[in-house]
Amino acid sequence: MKYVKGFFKFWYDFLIGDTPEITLAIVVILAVVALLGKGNRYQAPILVVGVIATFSMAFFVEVAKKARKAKAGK
Amino acid sequence: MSTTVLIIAVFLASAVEMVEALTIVLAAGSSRSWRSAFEGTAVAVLALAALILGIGPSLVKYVPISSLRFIIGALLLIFGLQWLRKAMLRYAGLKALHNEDEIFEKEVARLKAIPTVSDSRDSTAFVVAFKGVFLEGLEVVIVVLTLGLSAHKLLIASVSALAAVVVVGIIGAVVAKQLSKVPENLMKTTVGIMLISFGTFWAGEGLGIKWPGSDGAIVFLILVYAMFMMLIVKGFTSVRANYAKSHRGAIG
Repeated sequence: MKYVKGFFKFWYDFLIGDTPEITLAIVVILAVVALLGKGNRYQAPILVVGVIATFSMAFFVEVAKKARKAKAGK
Repeated sequence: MSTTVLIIAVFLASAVEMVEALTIVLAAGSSRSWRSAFEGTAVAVLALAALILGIGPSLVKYVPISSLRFIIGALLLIFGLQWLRKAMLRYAGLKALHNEDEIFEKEVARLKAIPTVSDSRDSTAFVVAFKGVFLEGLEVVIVVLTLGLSAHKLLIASVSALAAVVVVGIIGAVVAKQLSKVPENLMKTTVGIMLISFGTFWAGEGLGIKWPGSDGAIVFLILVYAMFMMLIVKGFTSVRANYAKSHRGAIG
């Protein structure tokens, strides 16, 4: 049981950890790209722009968290 | 071209993780017992190699390549973005840099406090070294398996990871307690960008995208991502610096 728990904990930490927003965003982006269908010319640009947008969101979520913490600490 | 990029990505990712593992091994060796620390390291490396050999070939045999590439691509995107986010937060000064010297000192102090049992093997040094190498190495296994399997170059990826382990080991033996001199954050940023580029390429291929220039698109993706990520972070740091300056001016 300990090893099963450890196994799931490893994958939870690896895939979600402290950034569930990244996992969620990637799942949504890949679903949208899949729904566009094979051969659709917008697949590649949407995927690339989606990845850049996900990075920006993850970065600024942390910036906002830090700002909130700093404000609360004042 | 993509093979070279793959070798660099696996090498850098493995090197970064091995620097962190080496800090733990050096701490366990110098504070407890070198012999037990090396034994723990050797067992962990063997366990990691067994994982690659056990999982890799069966995945290739039983999972269709397009599904494998899609799943691996998605994993690399998530993993790479997590890595890149941390590295960029450190670059922007929002997160403390990883200081291996500080970690080493703390680990040595912690291990010295644990009483030694008179035995031929120091079980604390063995377990600490094993856990350090195995846990840090699991990420290397994932990088080797994902990059190696998608490109059908598992052997090349494994050799590249092994080379990183050897190189970091030699450097570690030479510089011993100066691991903080390793430009870890720059390496992490580079690897993060490479991982998301490979992830985009393979997840896209799995979804039926025909990339212009075939494998060459990976290099294009690396350049595009590197440019955008740096623009975002540089833009943020310069806005923050200007804000701090104007605020000081208003107060003064």
